[in-house]
Amino acid sequence: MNPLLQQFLLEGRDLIQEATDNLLALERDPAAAERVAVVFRAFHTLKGSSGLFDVQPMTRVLHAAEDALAAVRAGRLEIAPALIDALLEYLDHTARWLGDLEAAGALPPDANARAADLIGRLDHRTGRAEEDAGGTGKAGGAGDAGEDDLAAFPEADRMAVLAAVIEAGPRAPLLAVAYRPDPRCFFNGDDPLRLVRALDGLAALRIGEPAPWPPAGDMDPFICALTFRMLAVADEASARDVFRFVSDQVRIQALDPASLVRPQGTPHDAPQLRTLAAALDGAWDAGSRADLRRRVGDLLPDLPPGSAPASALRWLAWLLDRPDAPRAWADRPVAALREMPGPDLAGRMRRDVVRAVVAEQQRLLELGGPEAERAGRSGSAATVVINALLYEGNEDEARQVAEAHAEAAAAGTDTPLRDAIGPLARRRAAPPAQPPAARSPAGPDAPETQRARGRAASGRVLRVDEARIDQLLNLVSEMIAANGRVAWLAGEAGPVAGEAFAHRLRDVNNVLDRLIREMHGTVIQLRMLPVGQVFQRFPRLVRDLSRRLGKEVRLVLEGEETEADKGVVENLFEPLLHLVRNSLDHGIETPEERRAAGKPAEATLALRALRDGDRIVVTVGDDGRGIDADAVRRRAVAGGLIDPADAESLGEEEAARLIFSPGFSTRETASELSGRGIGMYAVRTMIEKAGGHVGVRSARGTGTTVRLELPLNIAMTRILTVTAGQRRFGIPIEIVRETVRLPRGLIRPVKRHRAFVLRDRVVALHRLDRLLGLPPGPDDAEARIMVVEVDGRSDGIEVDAFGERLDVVLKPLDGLLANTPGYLGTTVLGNGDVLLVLDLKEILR
Amino acid sequence: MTVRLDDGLVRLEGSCTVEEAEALLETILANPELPVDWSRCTSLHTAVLQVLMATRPVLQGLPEDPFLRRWVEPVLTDGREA
Repeated sequence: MNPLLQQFLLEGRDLIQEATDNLLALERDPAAAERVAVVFRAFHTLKGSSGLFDVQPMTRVLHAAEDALAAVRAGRLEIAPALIDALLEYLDHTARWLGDLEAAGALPPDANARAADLIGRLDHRTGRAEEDAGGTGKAGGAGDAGEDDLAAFPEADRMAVLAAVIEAGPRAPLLAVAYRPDPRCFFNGDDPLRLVRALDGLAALRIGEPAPWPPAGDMDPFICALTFRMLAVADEASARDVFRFVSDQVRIQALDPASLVRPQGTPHDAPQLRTLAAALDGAWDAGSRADLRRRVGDLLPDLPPGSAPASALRWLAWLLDRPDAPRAWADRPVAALREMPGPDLAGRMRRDVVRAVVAEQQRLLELGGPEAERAGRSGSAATVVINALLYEGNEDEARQVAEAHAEAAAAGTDTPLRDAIGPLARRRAAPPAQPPAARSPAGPDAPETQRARGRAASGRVLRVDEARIDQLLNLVSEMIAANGRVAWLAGEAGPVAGEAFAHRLRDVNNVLDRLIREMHGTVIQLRMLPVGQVFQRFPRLVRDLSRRLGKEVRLVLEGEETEADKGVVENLFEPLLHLVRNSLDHGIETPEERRAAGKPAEATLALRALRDGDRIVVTVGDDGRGIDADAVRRRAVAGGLIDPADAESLGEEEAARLIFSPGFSTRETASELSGRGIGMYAVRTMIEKAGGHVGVRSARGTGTTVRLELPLNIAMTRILTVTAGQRRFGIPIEIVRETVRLPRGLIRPVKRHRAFVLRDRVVALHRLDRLLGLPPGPDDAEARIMVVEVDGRSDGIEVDAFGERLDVVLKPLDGLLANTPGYLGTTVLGNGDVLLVLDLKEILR
Repeated sequence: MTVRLDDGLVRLEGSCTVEEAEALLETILANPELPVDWSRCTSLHTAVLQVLMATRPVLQGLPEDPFLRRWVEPVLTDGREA
């Protein structure tokens, strides 16, 4: 896959997850403004990256979401459940489309229609939400809902308005007036500008004009093309009076003055801001305003004037200069500064992406190859690089590449193109120029800067194909085996090479042993993932399901940081899903039932993980109605799972465990969520397959907790390699009791089989090549036999040769081979060979 | 007459009403290079204002009227001083 697309898919999914988490958190706490910023950034980055690919419907949807979030940030739109639903729906679609993009390389044909539908719904929702939020603004036809009322006013306007508010004294009313005159209003005798003049306390005015104006020759001066936005320190009644004849064309809103204090600008990261943000907490209240003002003044010249931190600092300076300004006005710039140091993620990602694209195209061009192939390659390389440069906003360089490409095409060689792209790639490969603010490390800030860099460097994450780590693990395991042979050699070396040499060999062997074990531990660690990776899928799920069921549920997650092997963590999702659904469906009561039972209407569902030695324990607990042991007994008897007498003798706990029996269900009807009674049995099977146990504790009326216990690491399987019929196989060592070499004369035919006597017992002998239908191996004078124990019976298996003992990661057979009997799975050896591991139990039965 | 051509200047004087808008537009179209002197203007109808905004002539002088000075002048010179 195109590496650019691959990166987009990976980052995209992360961003979707991040946005989902924060939206859900916002739903619980709509006041958490910093979450809005995170969600906004996630959508913004997604949108920006999607622009690199042919996925316009996705880009449009993301753009609409970004607009809505911008409206939220501007205070024009409230975080309402409907909005969160819509945004979650957008994320769902984006995720699905990423899947389509990965699988088919394109969006499905209905994407366009779907995008239009989604966007329409959001417009509808936000439009309505805005009207609700408007409150005083019952302007009806004023329209114009999509524009940002406040965004029209630049910083200087806002500061002037706030100065007027301060002058007018505390509690002075502030109004925002949006006036969009009817184009034919002049014919009614209206003069909008005269109305604006009549508005008392006008503090800011912005006049909107068509962009561009029609050519002056075509202009009709009697059609009003202007719009007016005003901020006024005036009471609402007098303003309404001024506009009473055009009330259908204006919207008047009372405004909180603090909403004008809004730093704006491009993101910009400067380490000093961090120190300042930290100092802000104490200093402001402690009254050391003068000191703070000086620091702000010192910092300002270092920042690009158009940047958001510069804007925040200008606001701070302005506020610090005005002791009468309410303290709350400073909340936003202070918060902005604290939030700001998050560097320009979107920008950085864009730079990374462009760097990768340019470098890759350069590499392709350097590949050489047949003329025809190179011509095709240079054409596509040029297109890709030009697109990437345009994406980065680098039109000049894009033009240069286009020219070089034309020249190359005309000359029939790709040299000009290579010459043009080479320097671009080199420049981008170099470390980025230091931002201006970091160039002058003022004494105390310097360590901060370094620490910030160190953090950035160590935070880099490498994504590696799981198979490579498994192969690494197998290699380490072979090293352990090889070192085992060295240990044997060291033991044998004395008589041949002298004790001193044998001693040194043992030393080397010990060092190797320690190193290899350390390496083994490290590689195992590489596969460890926090359980949070699975837990994080549940908040959304629980929210949706509980809503659908009309139940109120609070989800508690604990121990998300607990780590276990990737395979273990990933295999947890399905069982947890079953358990959570079961809990929501059967365990947790409706709010009415809960209130009747004297419990809080909101139920608690907890997912907890903890480490217990070399096991991981995950519990799913609810405070619902608990398991009705009598009902379980009855159902078990009715289902023929247990005798009535036995059922009577079962304690509550034991009865509860019956829910894990095959074919068990306590409910008569299958529900939409949990399906028929395979649920709990399926959970048990899945967990036991992974080497774990399930348990359940339940108390009637107070809740149920299901406990899953699993090994922390993928069980590495220890195998013995053998050769039979000229092929190598692995045999799980747990069933091999011993290996023996036997002169052929001691093998006797017994009826149609062969057998031998081992410690006074007759053991049946099978040839592995024959069992597997392979060509027979050589008949050496001695037979090599492994004695295996299957179902309590010993059998001899003759093989051509024994190999080494290895700890390997077993991969179950999948795809077409998934149901082939006789094989436990495969493993890849250090030399790349695939080794089949046999299931002798099945073969011998 | 509140819109008149005078000595290489387009003059706006007194109260410029809606009726003046068309005359002003035609005068400016006919003499696009001439500056517009509005120092003796006392009020401006929206229709006149939008002619000035659409054609953006060089303005000369500053009216006495505080509303025009404070709120309209910045709109008409916006983007030209920068």
